[in-house]
Amino acid sequence: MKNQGKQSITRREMLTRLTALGFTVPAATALIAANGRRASAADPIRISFANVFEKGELFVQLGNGIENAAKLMGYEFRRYNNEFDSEKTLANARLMVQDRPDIILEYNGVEGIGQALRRIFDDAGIPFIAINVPIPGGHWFNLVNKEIGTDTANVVVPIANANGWTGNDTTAIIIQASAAGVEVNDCVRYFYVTAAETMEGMTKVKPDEITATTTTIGDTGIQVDGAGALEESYTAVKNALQTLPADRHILLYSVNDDSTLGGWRAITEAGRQDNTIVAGLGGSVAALGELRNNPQWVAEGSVFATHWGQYLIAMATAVLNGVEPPPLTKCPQLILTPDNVDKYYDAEGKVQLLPPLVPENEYLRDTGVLQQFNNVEGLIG
Amino acid sequence: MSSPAETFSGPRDSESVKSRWHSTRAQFFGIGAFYIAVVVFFTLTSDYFFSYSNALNILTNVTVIGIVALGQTLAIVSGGFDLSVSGVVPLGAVTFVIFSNAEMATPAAMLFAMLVGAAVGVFNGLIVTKVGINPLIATLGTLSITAGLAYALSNGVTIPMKNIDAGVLAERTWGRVPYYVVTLIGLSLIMWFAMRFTVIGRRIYAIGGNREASRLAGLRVDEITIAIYATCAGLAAFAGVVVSSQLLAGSATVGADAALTSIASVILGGAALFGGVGGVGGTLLGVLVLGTIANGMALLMVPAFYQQIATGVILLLAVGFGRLRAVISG
Amino acid sequence: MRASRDPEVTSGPPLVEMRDIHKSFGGIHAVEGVSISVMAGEVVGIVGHNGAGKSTLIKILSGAYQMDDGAIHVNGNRVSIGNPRDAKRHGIETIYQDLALHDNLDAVANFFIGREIHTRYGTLDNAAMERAAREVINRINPSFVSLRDPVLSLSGGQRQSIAIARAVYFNARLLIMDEPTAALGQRETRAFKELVLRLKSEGIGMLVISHDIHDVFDMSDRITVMANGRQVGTRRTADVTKDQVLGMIILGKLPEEGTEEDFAQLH
Repeated sequence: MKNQGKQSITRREMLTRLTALGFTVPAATALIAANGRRASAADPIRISFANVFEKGELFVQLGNGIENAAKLMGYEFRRYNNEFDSEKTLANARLMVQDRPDIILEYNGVEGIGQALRRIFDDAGIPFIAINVPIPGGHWFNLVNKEIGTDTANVVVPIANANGWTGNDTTAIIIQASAAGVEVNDCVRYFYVTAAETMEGMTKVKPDEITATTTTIGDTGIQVDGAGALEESYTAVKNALQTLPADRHILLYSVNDDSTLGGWRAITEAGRQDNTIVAGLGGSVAALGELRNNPQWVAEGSVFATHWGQYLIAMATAVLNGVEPPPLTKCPQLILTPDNVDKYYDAEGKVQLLPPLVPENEYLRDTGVLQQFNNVEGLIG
Repeated sequence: MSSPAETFSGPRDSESVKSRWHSTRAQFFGIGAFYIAVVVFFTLTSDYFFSYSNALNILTNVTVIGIVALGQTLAIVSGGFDLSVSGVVPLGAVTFVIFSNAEMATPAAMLFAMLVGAAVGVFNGLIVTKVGINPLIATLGTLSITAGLAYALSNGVTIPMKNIDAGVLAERTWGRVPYYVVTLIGLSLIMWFAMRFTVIGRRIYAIGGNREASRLAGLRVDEITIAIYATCAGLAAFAGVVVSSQLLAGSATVGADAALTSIASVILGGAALFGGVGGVGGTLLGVLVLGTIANGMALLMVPAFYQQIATGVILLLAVGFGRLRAVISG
Repeated sequence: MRASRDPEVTSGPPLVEMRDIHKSFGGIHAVEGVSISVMAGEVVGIVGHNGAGKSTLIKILSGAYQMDDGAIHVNGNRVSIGNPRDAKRHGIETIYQDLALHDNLDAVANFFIGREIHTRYGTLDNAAMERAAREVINRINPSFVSLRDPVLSLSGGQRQSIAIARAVYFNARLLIMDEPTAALGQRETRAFKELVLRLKSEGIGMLVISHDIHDVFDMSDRITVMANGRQVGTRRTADVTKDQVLGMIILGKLPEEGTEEDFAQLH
């Protein structure tokens, strides 16, 4: 289950690849000398990273991305696996501080143990960056689900409006993942709230009126629980469709690509695809394929999780340089459409360009780290 | 096994024995009556419940778990359990799509997925019979292994089916009924016939009733047990093929609740946890009860948290009420 | 050899003969060098304390256990018994102390389990099985009616009738019975002894294990006494008294080996 063997192969492959690209130690040292406050081959920056989980492509790629970026910068890097377990996470935190790294990147999946982690890191006097799940007293790097939901609605609803759809003949079906907590589900809440504001005749609600137990929003919103998974979302949407007249228009949106794909499958099975506009979130290969080929799939949110590594290493470098980051450093995020998808993703679904830095992330530019990757729009030299 | 002197010394004992027997029969008819009550309740409370399209909807929702529960019935009647179905369903789903995407002919890809499942079942059967590990523990182990394998094979992501013709099982036939529902009905009839009217069916009940006596009667207990686990896991893998056909994609996240829901359905249908009692009819009724309640609550827009709670309460009530009635009347 | 001192009831090869049987479980010797034989139409009783090795010995003959060393002959031919199917093939049927019934099945199903009558399509021929079972069971126990109820609801005597009837039906030549009277009432025990006589007259050999020395004396032609996995000795029932057999059980010695004082202690 732990995939240890596979992971070590991946690491070895990565080193081989880096060497092949000509990133030899002297070259890396030269890079660091350009910007590092303590740049010297004898005393490299030391970073420890605890991944939330080493199972599932997303988490492994995220971890590999961070490791990749750290090594590229010539930093000394250690990687731990929290296994989605609070005990293990705390044990890892204690192990990490023993090594006395310069900075810690902590991806903790168990929100409740933030205070305990803070105490361990603070006692050791080591700065830390919390990834995804905030830890009190630490710097925070995350996607902003609220903005993604709002931005997606701002792509989807104008298309529906142009079709002449209104709240009288349209229902938004949003697929939540109730067990994932409020922040994750912000994307679907704000999607509905924004849609209701921009489409005539939809029942308007405040964001906090949509909770985990909300199932209907007036006559124009249905929230189902897809548990973030394909099969559950398929079944949930299938049941929900029973309650909608066959000619009713549908806006479909969910917390992740698996849920949207499951819901979309239920809609096509019911023969209602021509009356539906759908948007995904995640930028998975399957969803990008839909965005490119399926005329009803009009938007796809991406947070470029495989490339968080270079931003995190830039952020860590800034912190070590004495910069105080904003309370939340946003990950690169963008709503892809059929028109711009080819700019950011190649045909195989690999990222080829990252969106430009938002103003509050300009401090990352000053570290010079992102420039080394030559893949951020506006920072390509 | 208790000694005969203990079991047959007094009338009190043999009465409790009889009531246990009557309770399984009462359970079957009780659950049938309960199902009618469920249908009446949702017909009265939801405008969308009582219709052909929703009946079809319920059938399509329960097919996957129905196929798993058929296999689980074999395992439970023979005195065992198979938890590994929760890993074999996703493993079957993922292998089917991977092989279909590798341009294997659809029937071959289905067969291959089922063979992978059957191989897991043979492994289950071997560790239960030859190593002598309790079925719950043995299949819990293979659950973990097969679920992990499904993740490893799919890299944890959803694999879309390249050739959507491979989803032929989800295509609709007469009355908009998908082929996989027809398949479930066919499999159920075969299994019902085999368990009731054939020598092997009789022997499965015998093994569940008294394993040691079956051995002494000359039955090939180990071989039959291995065949049962192989069938159960083969069916679970086929259920995975059906999920993939429904979703036109393979994912390691499917079927996570297959073990618990299938066991719940089998027990709800009147099977005994200790083996030897149960049947296809009861199991299908159990599957329908759980599937209909889930559908009805979804139509009534009951939030997911409360659906979960309600399902548990109804399960306990249905099983508990059947037993209680038997005690009072018996 | 002790076996050579065993008296023979009739001449010719014995129906079943076990020679110098050894069996141990993880270093514990359960049976050590025991030899017994049963002639057609003869009842041999095996007596001894709990743990004397009686059950292990008969389980070897019925195929439930495999012996470590020794030989089994049926009608003078050496045979190998690796599982219960082999034993049945040689006409050796066993009625276990717990009767080895399937409580969830009815009498007919129990009667035929493992040897079901089926059509050529592999389906059960329930009518034929019920007819055959009813005939045999009623011959053994005329008051038996509930052939279609799960046997869990039957009395001890009725349950035993099923176990005996199915053993007899399949052309048993040797019946092994482990504590056959333990679960029976007085009347049922009397009926059982009559049945044994009837089976004897049909030429069926029987090997009976019992705790009840009176029952053994009533039924058997010869008695084998076992103690601590060994065979103390075998005697014609007519040649010994109950006290002498009791002495063999308790002291683990033959009457002629024991001193006067040994046997005096028994009283």
